[in-house]
Amino acid sequence: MDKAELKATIFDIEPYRNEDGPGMRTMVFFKGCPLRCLWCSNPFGLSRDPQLIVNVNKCAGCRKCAEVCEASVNCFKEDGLHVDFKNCALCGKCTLVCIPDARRISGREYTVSEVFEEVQKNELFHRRNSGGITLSGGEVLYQSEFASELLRLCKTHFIHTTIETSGFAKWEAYESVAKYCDLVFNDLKIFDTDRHKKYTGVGNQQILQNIQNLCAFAEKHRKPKVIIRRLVIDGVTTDEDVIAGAKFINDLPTHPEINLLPFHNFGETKYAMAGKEYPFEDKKLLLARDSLMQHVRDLVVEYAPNCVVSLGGGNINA
Amino acid sequence: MSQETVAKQESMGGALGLEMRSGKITKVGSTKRIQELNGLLHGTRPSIDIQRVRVYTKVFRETEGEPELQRRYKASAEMYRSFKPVIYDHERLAGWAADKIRACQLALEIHAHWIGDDLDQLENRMYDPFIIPEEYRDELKEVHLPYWKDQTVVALMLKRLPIDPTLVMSGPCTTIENYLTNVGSHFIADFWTLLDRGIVGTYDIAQEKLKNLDLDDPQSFDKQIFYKGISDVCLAMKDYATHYADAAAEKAAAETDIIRKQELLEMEALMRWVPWNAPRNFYEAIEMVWLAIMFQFMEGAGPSQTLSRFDQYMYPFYKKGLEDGTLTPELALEYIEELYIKLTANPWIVSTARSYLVGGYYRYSHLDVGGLTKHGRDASNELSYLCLRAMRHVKTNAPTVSLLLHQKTPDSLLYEACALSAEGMGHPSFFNCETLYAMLSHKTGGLHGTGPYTREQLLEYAGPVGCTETGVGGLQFGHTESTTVNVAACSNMVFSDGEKNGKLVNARTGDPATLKTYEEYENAVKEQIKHTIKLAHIGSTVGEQIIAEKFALPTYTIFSRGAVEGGQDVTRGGAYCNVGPTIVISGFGTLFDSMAAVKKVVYVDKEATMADVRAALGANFEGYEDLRAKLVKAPKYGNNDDFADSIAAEMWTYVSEEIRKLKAYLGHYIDPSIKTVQTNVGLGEGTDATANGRLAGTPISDTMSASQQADTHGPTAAALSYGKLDFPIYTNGTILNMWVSRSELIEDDLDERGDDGEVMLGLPHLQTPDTTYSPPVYKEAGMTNFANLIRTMLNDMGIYHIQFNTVDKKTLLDAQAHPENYPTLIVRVAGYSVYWSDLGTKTQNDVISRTAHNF
Repeated sequence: MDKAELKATIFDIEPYRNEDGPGMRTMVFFKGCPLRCLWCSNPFGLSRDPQLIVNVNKCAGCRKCAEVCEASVNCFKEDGLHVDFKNCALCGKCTLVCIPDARRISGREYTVSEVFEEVQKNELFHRRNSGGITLSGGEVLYQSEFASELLRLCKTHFIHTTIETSGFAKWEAYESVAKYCDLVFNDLKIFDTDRHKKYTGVGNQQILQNIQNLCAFAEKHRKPKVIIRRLVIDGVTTDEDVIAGAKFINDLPTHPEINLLPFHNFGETKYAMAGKEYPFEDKKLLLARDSLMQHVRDLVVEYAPNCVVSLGGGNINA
Repeated sequence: MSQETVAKQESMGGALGLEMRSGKITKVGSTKRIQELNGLLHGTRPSIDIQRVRVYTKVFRETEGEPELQRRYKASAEMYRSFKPVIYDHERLAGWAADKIRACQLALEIHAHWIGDDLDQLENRMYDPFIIPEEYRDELKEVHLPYWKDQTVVALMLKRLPIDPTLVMSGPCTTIENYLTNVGSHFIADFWTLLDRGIVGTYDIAQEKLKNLDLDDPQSFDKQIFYKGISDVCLAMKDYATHYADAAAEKAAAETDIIRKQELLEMEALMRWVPWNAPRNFYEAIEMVWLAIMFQFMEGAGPSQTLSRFDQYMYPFYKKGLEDGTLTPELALEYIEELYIKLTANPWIVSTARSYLVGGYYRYSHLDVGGLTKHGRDASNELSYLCLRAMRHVKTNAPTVSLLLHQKTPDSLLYEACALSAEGMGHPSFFNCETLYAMLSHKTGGLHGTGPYTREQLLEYAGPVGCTETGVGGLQFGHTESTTVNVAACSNMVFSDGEKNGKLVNARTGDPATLKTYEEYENAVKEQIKHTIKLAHIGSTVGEQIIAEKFALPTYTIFSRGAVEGGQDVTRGGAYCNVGPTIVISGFGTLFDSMAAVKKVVYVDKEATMADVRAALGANFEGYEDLRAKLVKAPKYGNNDDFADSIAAEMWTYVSEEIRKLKAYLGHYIDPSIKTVQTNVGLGEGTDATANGRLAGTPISDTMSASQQADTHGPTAAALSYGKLDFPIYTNGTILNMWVSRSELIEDDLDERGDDGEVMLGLPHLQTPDTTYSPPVYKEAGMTNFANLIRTMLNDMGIYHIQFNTVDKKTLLDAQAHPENYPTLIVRVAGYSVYWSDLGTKTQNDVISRTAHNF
């Protein structure tokens, strides 16, 4: 099979992003993730399958969606539109009649060449400030064969390549992708294995091993640049975990940069759009200058003296 | 929404805006002096002055039977001589165009046909109200209006027009009224010559020419009138300044504060020197520039008196002042801020009907920074930075500060401009130099020729006029925003066979059901547009003839290079390059989307017939929701989708070529441009449902931008769509509006303010301890990507102009609900920055509905 014809399920391609890599990024979001982090800000990326998304706030109440739906997914009651997401057969007919664009099917299959064509469209913008492509999700390593081929193609066209990953995958799969990356963001959500499992649904032994493998790989090949991302959440992040994580990263080959990300709840409204409940308790939105962030940074600086420490997703230099 | 909020929204408009924007809260600026003057500006309600009207009525009564040009010249001279000087505390620059700050003169000889109807509501109207004393109102009604009402361009036009006037005066597809009511407007004075030799230089030439006239030559009679008139207007400008000098001296004598006394004595010396003599320092030079603009305000009846390349012609004075110790960067900054206040303080008056569409009192004065020198080097200097920085301190809505961006423009100047963008005031506009030069090199040249400008002239003097029209300082005269052709309405004429409400108003293209292929449909659309262009052209040419006969402009002639030497008034072809009346295209986005929708639904997918579309449009889609959904979901311009973009490219070229075939009364070819200043809302009100699924009465697309909320794929996709088009064929310029979220550029928390940080390369180090301004904390990645977006769109793709609204959409929604919290919020609306609270609710809604990328 021609590798350019490999397929993956993608749920969004967004140009003009300022975060998650140097310069202007074109983000490609892969659909499907093996983790179930309670705080996930991108619930459209959880399921591997395409799904119906409805923004009830945009609904103009014309009831056309109810008329065309053979599975009776859409139902208008006194308080407005109700959507029975489970019975949706993904025929897409309702999206065609919805004038205010309140609904769409999230996720479809793309071939490598289709995605590459989309990325290429932005080359004028990438070249002005060394921007490039960032693969995100969902979990990019969940569809690693596709990702590897896409990144290989980008590298042959001198496009800067970045991935964002949880690191939860077989090392062989990870390596096949990492070898075409200029930059890798690997999350280290929680250092303690049990608590990692509690909050994300999986243990982190494989993730820790992969981070070690990745850093060794980077040292040997002088690429990719590795940045370990640590999410800071009020009430979840503990000093012991921060310190233990910092010590672990400090001793890794190449002493990767540590990027501290303040928690945000911008994804909360997306859960309702996907017919899901927001699983995370009400948490405070953090800003880079909040005292908790400053405190965590101070700890990391103290316990990971070999590493560069940065705050927030923007201003990444690589 | 609470009832109170609804009530507030309904009463929203300039009147309430003025209430809220008191002098106290707007005391901003780099020094205490500027803060006081800014407070005075905003604390004073706009009013009407009738000194000019009195002069014109008197002079024209006394000169019945004299040549028309002589009468106009005498009136201008008398006006300059008779105005009473006005000097406020804290002022260093002198001169007002009326009896007080924020007062406006009436040009009854142009506007009498509408002012009569509006006079009684002027003070209480919702948008752009003006205070007018009772006795003025009575005098206007009894003495002046009866004299002028049958003399205006519009009144004379109605007697001459060879076609039905209702087709072109607020007609179904075109309107030419802007042209007819703007005599004396859209101009860049020859500041270079003026600063070099003063008014006396022009006076001496006129005298020399007069002396050498051979009265045996029949042509010399007209020349004699011209040169005598010019000489007298020059002397009258001197007299105007002398009156100010006397008033300053008188004030100084009575002044007890020793510092203020000295300032007033300096003002006296200033006004005894300029504008008659060539300025010797920065203070005199900036006063000269102000007077040149102000004299145009006084004589002209229209807007867009342009400062153009201020940082270039002022730089020698700046440099000299720093060298000889008479000037500091802070002092220059203060003068510039005072100039900005003066420009904002001269309101423009429009009819009540038009105030709903173009409200905001705004005069469209451009001030440009950057660009190239005549030898092709980067022209930026410290003043370029100071002009941008001044706007951050003083926060006025005038002038429109613009960056002339070239590949050679340093990044630091671009970043300074982006930092001004981040303030969310709509300043600055970004222009691409090379596209500007390419447009101008074919200006007035028609389809097969070129314009009269040399490359060197363009590099030295070219800059935008009015909103974004192409201009060349001192060398170009003519109206650049004359007639509007609503191509969205034209496209509908295909479905009504040229009829509106049962009456034939445009071309006959037959029953739409007989259009068997897309090509036939496209040809029918072209036929309709061509017909409308022709109507607009006929109307404006008659106007041009009337203006040349009866509406001479001595001040604009004096400020045009070579016009006095050549002995011809600018309305009669005296300028180096005569331009206009131009044809302005509105509603391109709606047209492109409508054609793409018809192509997709009718001719490609065959899901409906032309008869179906005709029926749906006639019913405003009621009962045709399914068809409307199909039309709405068709590919749209602004998403980098070639299905729609190739239609755009075809129509873009066709319309330009149809316009450039046409000749003006003065003999040059007509130039096309793409604009709409808020008028997309008003034009939309009169436009039936369109085939892109747009409902009747809602706004049509504005400028050359994608239709509202149609550009769903983000700023780069929109940019790529625009970048496919060939800009230079719109020889009179294009406008593009985009949104970038302010939170992309600065940290969200507005309370947090950074220090001034590193002094930018090029910006002098400023010590402004009294300033009210403190800079926000910038997001580095957001700022560099924003700067690169601009570079890519302009320098790489060749897009001519782009302007950004960088206020968050949620801010606008909140400002609409709670206007009292946002009295000084400024937004950019197609070519100029206006106070949010001065906009009509409909226009506010339109601004909000434009796609905010990354929101």
